[in-house]
Amino acid sequence: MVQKLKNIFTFSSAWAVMLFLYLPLFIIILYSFNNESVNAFPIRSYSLKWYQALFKDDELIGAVFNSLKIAFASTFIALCIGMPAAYAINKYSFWGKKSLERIILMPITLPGIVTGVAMLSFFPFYGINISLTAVLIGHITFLCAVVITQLLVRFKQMDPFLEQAAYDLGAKPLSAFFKVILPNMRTAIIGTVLLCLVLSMDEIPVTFFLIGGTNTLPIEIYGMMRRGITPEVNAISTFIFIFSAIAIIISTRTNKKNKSAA
Amino acid sequence: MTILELQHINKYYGNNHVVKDLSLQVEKGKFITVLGPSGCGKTTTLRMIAGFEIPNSGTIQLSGKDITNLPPYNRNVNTVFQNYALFPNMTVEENVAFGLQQKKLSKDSIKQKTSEMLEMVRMGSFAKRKPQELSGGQQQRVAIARAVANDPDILLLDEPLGALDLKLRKQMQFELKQLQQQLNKTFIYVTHDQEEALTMSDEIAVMNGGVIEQLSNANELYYHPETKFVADFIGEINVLPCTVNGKVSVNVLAKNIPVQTNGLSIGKNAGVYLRPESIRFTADTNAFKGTVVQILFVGMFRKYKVDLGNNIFVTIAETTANASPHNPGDEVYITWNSEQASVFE
Repeated sequence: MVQKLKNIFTFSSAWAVMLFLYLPLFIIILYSFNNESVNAFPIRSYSLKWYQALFKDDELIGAVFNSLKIAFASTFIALCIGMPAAYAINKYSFWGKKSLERIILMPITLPGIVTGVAMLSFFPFYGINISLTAVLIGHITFLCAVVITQLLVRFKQMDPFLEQAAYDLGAKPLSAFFKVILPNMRTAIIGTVLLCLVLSMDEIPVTFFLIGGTNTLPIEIYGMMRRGITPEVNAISTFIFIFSAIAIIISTRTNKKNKSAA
Repeated sequence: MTILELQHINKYYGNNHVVKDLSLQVEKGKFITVLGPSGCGKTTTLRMIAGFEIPNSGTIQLSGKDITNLPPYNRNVNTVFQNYALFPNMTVEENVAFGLQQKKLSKDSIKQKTSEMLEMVRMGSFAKRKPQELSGGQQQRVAIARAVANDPDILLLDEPLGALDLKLRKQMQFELKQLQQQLNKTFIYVTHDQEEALTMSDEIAVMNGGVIEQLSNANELYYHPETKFVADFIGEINVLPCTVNGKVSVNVLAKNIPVQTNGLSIGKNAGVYLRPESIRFTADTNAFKGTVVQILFVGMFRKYKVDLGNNIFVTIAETTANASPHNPGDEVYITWNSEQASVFE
């Protein structure tokens, strides 16, 4: 009897948390199909008109593409810088390694506003004006920290003898890296890439300081909010939700595959 | 023919002198074991031969060529790692083919060599499996096949059986030895397990504190240890306190015994080192007299603990094939083959 009560309790509390987290999202999805322009229940009639409006809104579509460009480019470059850095931090010992490992997280732990302001005043020294390029560099900076910390954990878990075995069998360092180390890092890399894309896609504080006339998606939505929430925002949110959900499913699937193999 | 020659190798980790002026010659086709307690520098020595560590001084020559500073991928030696280090992202077959692919051999010859190697270690039917799906012993076989596939001048084995259970370890010892003879390859095997060393090797190098204490075959090592460390480290041994009388004479329990004294000065207090198997009972009443204290049955042997008086006890081992001639409390006389006795300080 007590056991049964316990089961009911854990079951219902788990679902309560799910509800708490996801109910607002589902309501937004519901609203995006609302025919009226006011977000209110009961919904009298459904339509796709906000999706149509969305696709006609060049500024919003432009913002989506800007965000995607920034997200993919910054993730790619951060991976190119961060992965060798994490590899080196793990493998070699050098002066100041311990402190480097600690301060590497700074760009994430510092409030975005501080990073944003700092970059805003620093970039002009190098002739970089506020622009999408500045935003790109800003995103690369904090994504590098993410990539290094995420991949360093996996490098540390990896059997150091794997790399030695590759050398032992005649593989030169580059070949050993691409054929042995990289494939064994696959799930960590996929996870890190997805995390970076998501972080870059909804980044506001740093972007806000560095962006000029053009807008990224979060900034555009933020701007729309001032004019009042239109159901267009609901429609775009629905899209973002679906893409994020797909990304999460992919990342958990690859992780599971890896675990069942291990 | 000498295939590997280490000359005056020194290796430091910081201030820690791990390998001290080590020299070693390895004959082609021999099974050499480097045996020693943990921290004696045996694995470091192996890693210097493999190229994972570079000595601070000294040279390593492989087939007459200086390889001291070559990276591992430019030396024709291969290693079987302690934890096997099979690539988890590849199948068994791909693991074995890896080294051959690095040599840029043709697809056909890679395929042929790979299946030949897998057949050799009886893993042919597991070619498409991932290493994680194999048992420890099977992974071991794949690791051996992967290393041997490259046709190395020397195969290095770093405690490869350490992770296996006793029964499997015995079987693999036998298989490894058989494989070595079949391939007629030079094996250098590192272990801290003396039984493994004694059963498999043509020659054993006993290492301690960064130096080789003795390099000889199992029988020599067992019955004619050259240092006190070797005598103590290998097997069980009796130590009888003695005083050195001369070049070939010591005084034990008021009796003069002929035995080589290894240049110890006269009058020095030392010990006569004797294996339990080297001591036997005798009817000769001029021999050492003692009392049987305890008899232990340990399978192949029966062990007698004999009290020689003055708080000196010896262990004697005799085959269990015959019924025990003595009972606890019996008065006995013992003697030994002084050929098999050693004297150390």
